Amino acid sequence: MILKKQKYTNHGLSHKTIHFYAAAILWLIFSIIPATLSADPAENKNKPIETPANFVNRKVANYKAGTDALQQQYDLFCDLGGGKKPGAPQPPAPPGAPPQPPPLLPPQPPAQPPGGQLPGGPKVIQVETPGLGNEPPVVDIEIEQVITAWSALKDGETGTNPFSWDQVQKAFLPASGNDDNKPPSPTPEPTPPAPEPEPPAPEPTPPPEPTPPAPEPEPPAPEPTPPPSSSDNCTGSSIALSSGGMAFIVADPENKSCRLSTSSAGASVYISNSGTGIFYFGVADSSSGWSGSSGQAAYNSAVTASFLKGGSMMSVTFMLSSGPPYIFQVTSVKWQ
Amino acid sequence: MLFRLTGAFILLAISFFTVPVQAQEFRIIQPIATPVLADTPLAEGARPVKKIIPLDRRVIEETMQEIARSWNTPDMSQNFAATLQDKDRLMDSMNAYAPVDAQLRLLSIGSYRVLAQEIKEDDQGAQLISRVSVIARTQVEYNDPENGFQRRPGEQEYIIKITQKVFQ
Repeated sequence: MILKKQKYTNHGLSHKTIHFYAAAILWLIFSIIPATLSADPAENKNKPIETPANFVNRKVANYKAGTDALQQQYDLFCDLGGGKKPGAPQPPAPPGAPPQPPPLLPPQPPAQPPGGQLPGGPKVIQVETPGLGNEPPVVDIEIEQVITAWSALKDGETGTNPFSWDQVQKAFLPASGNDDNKPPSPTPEPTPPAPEPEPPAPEPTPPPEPTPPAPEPEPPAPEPTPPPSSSDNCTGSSIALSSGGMAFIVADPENKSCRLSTSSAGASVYISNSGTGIFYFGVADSSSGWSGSSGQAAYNSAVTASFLKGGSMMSVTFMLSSGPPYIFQVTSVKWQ
Repeated sequence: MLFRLTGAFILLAISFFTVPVQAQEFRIIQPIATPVLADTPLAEGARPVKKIIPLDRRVIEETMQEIARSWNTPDMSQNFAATLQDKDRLMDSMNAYAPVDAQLRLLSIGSYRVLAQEIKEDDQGAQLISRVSVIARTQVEYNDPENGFQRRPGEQEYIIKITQKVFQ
């Protein structure tokens, strides 16, 4: 019996296929892998080694060239408002600020671009930046919904929603229903006036006075009523100012009372918030007969200023707390 | 036989790693119920913009200042949309309770974002209509005859529809 030559191995592959795979694997092992591993060191040997000093110098040179190119572009095309060019209009000074001295620099010719004049004369391209105009005008506004925000003023307070009918009612009800929203200042007001007349009532003054008749103390009693000067609507009251906003003190020297207002009508003293850490104060309208001190003060610092009209002098102590919101508060008012 | 089994195992392993693995859980998304105002169309005949155009903050400030200025004035109701809740009762309360000198002061404007935006074109040109959510801090101020100056601060979120005329 003649045995046939076995064509396939036990794995089912022919010998040719096995030899082809073996050759491919050997070619990978002996040709590509060693070349790949030895390629990088050979190339790196040819590269010059850069010293740290050269590296720093190269980076600095590149950076300086870049900034010079940017500066040239800026000088050529940009002319932004608010620059400190000589002759440029200065922003208006806030009221009460000391006058600024004129600029010391002499007028200089306009800057020329490097390399001479541009063809066609100097050309200024207006740079358009977002937020500086070019906004389509608003032609209609519709309030669709006003929701009281969760971020309350304090814990448990949600504030007043001016577009909610029930909260509007609460806001304008007598003070009994609005204790939660009221500032702490107006509430203590009614109480101080009551105790104040009492101290004079015990008559620390009558004893020294040689007025023997006992029924006479009654006339002095009405006298404390004029001092109800402390019962004005000014002491302890406060008002919120925006940055650049103004508040006014409307004083009445006859009744020795005053109140805060946001309107300048009939105002005696103005307080102007610059929004830059200081506020200004002074006589609101000198033609109304008021005169007195004016100046400026820093936020959160109490200021006592005196104002005079006729024979009455009003000494007011006030301060403006930093914000926003900037709260202007009158600490005390004294009439003399 | 062993070679075939090895190949099949390798193919199975490869197919296992190529299937995208997702961190799936057996939970169902339950959306929080919110007002449908943000989905309502802004105007008839308007088409939504492909990409929302951001509004400048100055526009928002002017809009809020206008709202504060018109508060407690005869023009107050002109700024109300038809969807404003209880606007008639609000005007009744204003007429009945608000003092004449009561005013609304805008203390600060917080964040704002454009909820929806559409463009409406007609014979008069194109109008950009934006529904904006604005967080603002306000204060109602008035003088009480007995207690003097009074203030009622608060913080609200305003949903406003702003219409701007677009020049083309």
